[in-house]
Amino acid sequence: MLLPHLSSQCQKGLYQTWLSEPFILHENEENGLTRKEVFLAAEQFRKLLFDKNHNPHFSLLLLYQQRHHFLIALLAIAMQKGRVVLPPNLADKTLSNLKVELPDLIVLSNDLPHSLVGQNQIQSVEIDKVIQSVKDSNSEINDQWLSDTLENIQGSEIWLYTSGSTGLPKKIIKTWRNMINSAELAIERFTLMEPCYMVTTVPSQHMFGLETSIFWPLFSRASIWFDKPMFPAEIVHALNANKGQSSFLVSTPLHIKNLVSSSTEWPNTLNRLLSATAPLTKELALQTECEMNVTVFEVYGSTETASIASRQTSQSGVWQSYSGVEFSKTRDGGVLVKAKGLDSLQPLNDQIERLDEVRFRLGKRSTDLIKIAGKRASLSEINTHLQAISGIVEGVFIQCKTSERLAVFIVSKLSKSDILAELRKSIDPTFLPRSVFYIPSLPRNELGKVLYSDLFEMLPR
Amino acid sequence: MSALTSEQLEIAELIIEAVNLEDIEAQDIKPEDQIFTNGLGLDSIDALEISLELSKMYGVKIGAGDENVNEIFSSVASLTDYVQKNKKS
Repeated sequence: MLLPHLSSQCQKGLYQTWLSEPFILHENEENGLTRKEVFLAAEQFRKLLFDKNHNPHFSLLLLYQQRHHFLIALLAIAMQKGRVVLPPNLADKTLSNLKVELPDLIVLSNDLPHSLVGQNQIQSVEIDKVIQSVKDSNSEINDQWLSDTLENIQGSEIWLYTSGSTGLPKKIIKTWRNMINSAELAIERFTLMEPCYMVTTVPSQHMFGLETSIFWPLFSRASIWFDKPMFPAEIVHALNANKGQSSFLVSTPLHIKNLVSSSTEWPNTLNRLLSATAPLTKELALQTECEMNVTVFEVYGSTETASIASRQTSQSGVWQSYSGVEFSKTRDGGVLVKAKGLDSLQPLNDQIERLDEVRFRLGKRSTDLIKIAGKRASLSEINTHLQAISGIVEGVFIQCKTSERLAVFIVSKLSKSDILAELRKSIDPTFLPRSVFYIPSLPRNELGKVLYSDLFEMLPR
Repeated sequence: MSALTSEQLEIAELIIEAVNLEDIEAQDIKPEDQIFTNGLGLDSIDALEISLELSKMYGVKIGAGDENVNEIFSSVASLTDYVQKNKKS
């Protein structure tokens, strides 16, 4: 059994097209890949990976940045029912903790982070060799083999991490079945069974990137760009690799804001833009639609639930949930979500106001999560790391008004570079303070709570 | 400590402006200071914001050719060199 939305149309030859049409477009055209080649390369890479390692319990830390390397490795691990780990960040403490939890870690990466020196490492050049051998051999794919493979990978695990409101990174385990079922809903919502081309600026290691750069395209008719472009000129270059198909750019509000103000000339094949990971304002959505001549969609979701709803932000603040998504309330007022792709009811981090079966508005966020450029952290967690530095009497993080970036107010004699060096060991660089303000003591109320309103007043304008 | 040239000072000011480094003065930055990781502690979104300002001020489009972006952004000095070589006069 293949995927329902593919197998139902097998008679029409769709399945063969799905396997053999251009799927991953590459800088050098001849290095582009079809889905057939991806599956064949994954099978070869699986043998290479697992024949070398007899311990069936090892885990693989997948850090490749280019989509074809990431996808082939991900598939290869799933084919062996292995476990793939996608770390929340590359901070020393995060990786050292992972090493303790998973001693038999193999690192799939081109650069070995400092804290992983001594671990087994496999560079992406090994995948390039496998791809070359698949291209040279010109082998065909056996339908039964593919069908069995797709069946076999369903239970394989992908470990993702998210900053929990308790302050500690929380492990979220997704099976391929979860991811595929969830992808089907998004494929339906964004009509990805119509051939189209997707360029994504977010890393595949986080849920939104994993969905949009890997699972949606693999199980639809969307083709993708092999790399993760960042600068406007790189994105235009990636979009131009497409030969006339309608293009779909996937990014985050902070990135989009930069793209819109870059006075770039966007190709006219670009007609949709998708944003997630932080709220996109209606103003920015309108400006983007006008400047880039696209329709802007936002998706709503979380690492726990994957994406579950979307809206065209310029037109409406109301979210439309994907097919079959249902919400229920807990006794203490929390919201639980049920959806194809979730094994059990999952709590949401936000409050929602339901308008009818499929439409809802978002209410207040119920935790102290902060989001910057698609990454999220808990304020209480990073404050704990700040206060743990010896030499800091007291200190707190605060999000600046002028940008999304963080600043810290501290009572300490340590220099800014010493503080940054210490923080870098435990938190992602995105959340490092851009500014360090030294004050004699933190403003507190009579109950001892820090008065953030006073701190905001002290920020330069 | 070597002082910034006038071109480097201009770039240092542009970086501070682009990413709102409220507590740093351009004169305090050294030409060999790394922009990311250990020096000013900036990341890739900052690079994007800086590139935008460079494009507005000098018409320089980073990422349009096959140059090594990491090398360009390795220090204030290297970023200044790149801008001087590629700016539209």
